[in-house]
Amino acid sequence: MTALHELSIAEAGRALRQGKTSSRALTEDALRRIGSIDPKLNAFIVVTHERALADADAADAAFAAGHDRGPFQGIPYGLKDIYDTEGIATTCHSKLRQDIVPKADSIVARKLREGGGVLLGKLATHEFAIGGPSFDLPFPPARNPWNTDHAPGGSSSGSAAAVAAGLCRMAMGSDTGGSIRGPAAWCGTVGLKPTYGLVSRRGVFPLSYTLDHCGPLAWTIEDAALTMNVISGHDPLDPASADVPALDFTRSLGWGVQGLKIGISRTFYEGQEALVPEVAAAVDTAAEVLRRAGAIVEDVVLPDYDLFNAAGRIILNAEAYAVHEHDLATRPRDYAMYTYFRLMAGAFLTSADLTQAFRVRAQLTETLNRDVLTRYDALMTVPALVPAPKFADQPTDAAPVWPIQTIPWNLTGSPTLSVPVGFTSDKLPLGVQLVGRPFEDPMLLRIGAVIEAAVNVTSIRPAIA
Amino acid sequence: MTNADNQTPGASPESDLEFEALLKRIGHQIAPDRRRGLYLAYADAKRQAAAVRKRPLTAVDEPSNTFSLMAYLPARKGGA
Repeated sequence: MTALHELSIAEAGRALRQGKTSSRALTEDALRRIGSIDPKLNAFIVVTHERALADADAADAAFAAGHDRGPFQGIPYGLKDIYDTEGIATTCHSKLRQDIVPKADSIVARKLREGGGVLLGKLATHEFAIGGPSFDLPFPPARNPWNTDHAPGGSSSGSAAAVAAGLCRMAMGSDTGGSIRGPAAWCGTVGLKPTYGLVSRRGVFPLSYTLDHCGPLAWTIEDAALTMNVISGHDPLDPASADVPALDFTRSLGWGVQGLKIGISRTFYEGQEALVPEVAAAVDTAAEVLRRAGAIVEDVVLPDYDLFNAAGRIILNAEAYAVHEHDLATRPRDYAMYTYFRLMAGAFLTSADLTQAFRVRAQLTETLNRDVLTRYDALMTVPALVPAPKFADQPTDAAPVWPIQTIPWNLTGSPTLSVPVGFTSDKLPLGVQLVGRPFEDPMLLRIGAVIEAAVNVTSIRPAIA
Repeated sequence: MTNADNQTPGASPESDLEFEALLKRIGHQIAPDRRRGLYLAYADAKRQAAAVRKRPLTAVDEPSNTFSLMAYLPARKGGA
């Protein structure tokens, strides 16, 4: 018999509806696992025991009364601790916000609550979704469940660690420069950065207004798709929200990839000094899977990675500095050292730097969508040049520089999916990054589902779990 | 390439001077143990700023976040 925590959202949903389990049982199992495993991972900043059990009982009562509010009814989940939650502190993993208790839910938290979900708790992040794995904060950094000497990536560090360790099936993350896809790749989970504007950011602490995306980390592609069916949708009070018809993220999951055309952007990573060969080999593995399934896979040349990276980082740094300008001046010592260095980078930019970056952004977005993605259904590349790094290798007097390759798609707002592919010889996860056309997120999930089924790594959990 | 590519404080007097001037403009009190890390952040910002200027842009290339009033479009009534 499958252990409760191994049931996907889809499987648990079926079991709930068939009366084979209850939300209370799923929730108590999750809380037990968190109690025994999380002290080694620090994935949770706070576990909301009472709220979770109340949510679970409400879900069970709804099932008993014949009310079904959708795929999250009765399903335990977690939220990165930058999502506002009514009556529960939203700390952003920071000393500056330890006592901040929101009066209302973020839109995503509200949708999951109204959908009958069970909130297990709030998850660790790099401070304000930008710092690093810091030890000079009120809460310890999350650790990678595959090897706790290694970082899980960031900034959605707790979300990735919790999902990989089987503490929850889905955890919400946010992604401004790669903070969903990086940790997903390094922890061996699925991570979707949806098209910019598909998921409301209202009530989520901002890092960079024009680059912030909200999205799920999940153990399976189907679970990520089910989550998107619940959390996506137009929000007139989020200025970036896209007023587009609702998408169905699960409908095309089984359609395969026969005849699809997929481009590999090797020039982004080949020849880079830091590149670990196993990382590049993971892309080749995925490419072979897709070819065998009938896709046409070929190399494609994109504009220079460095240009995407520079424009993205200028915009991120400038906007983030604007958010934190006052506190950086008045409470600098309340930020972790890494966070301080990262946020202060924006202080050294000029107004012309930012304007040029926005002009480059418009050009690159046009090039990608008019010249490249009219010829390809999706692109494929590495999420990072290396597997998860060790905590011990982090610098002591400057911000760590992780060679992740994710910010181009924040710049263009493109939907981007990180899919697990396998492991290094040291048993650290490897993944690929799929990039699609705006508002064609279901296409990425469809392609990801083919890779997921072929590489068959969802049955392999870290030993800690 | 800029002088800030010499990432260590003291490697480029010109960059050191600019760094100090920028700190003065910002007006923050910077603790000694944070000066080196901050200098590296400065050097990185300068490098990114130089990189975006490598892309040919004409005067009519507008930024991606061009100001728009579409959100305030009056509601159409009666097909008028």
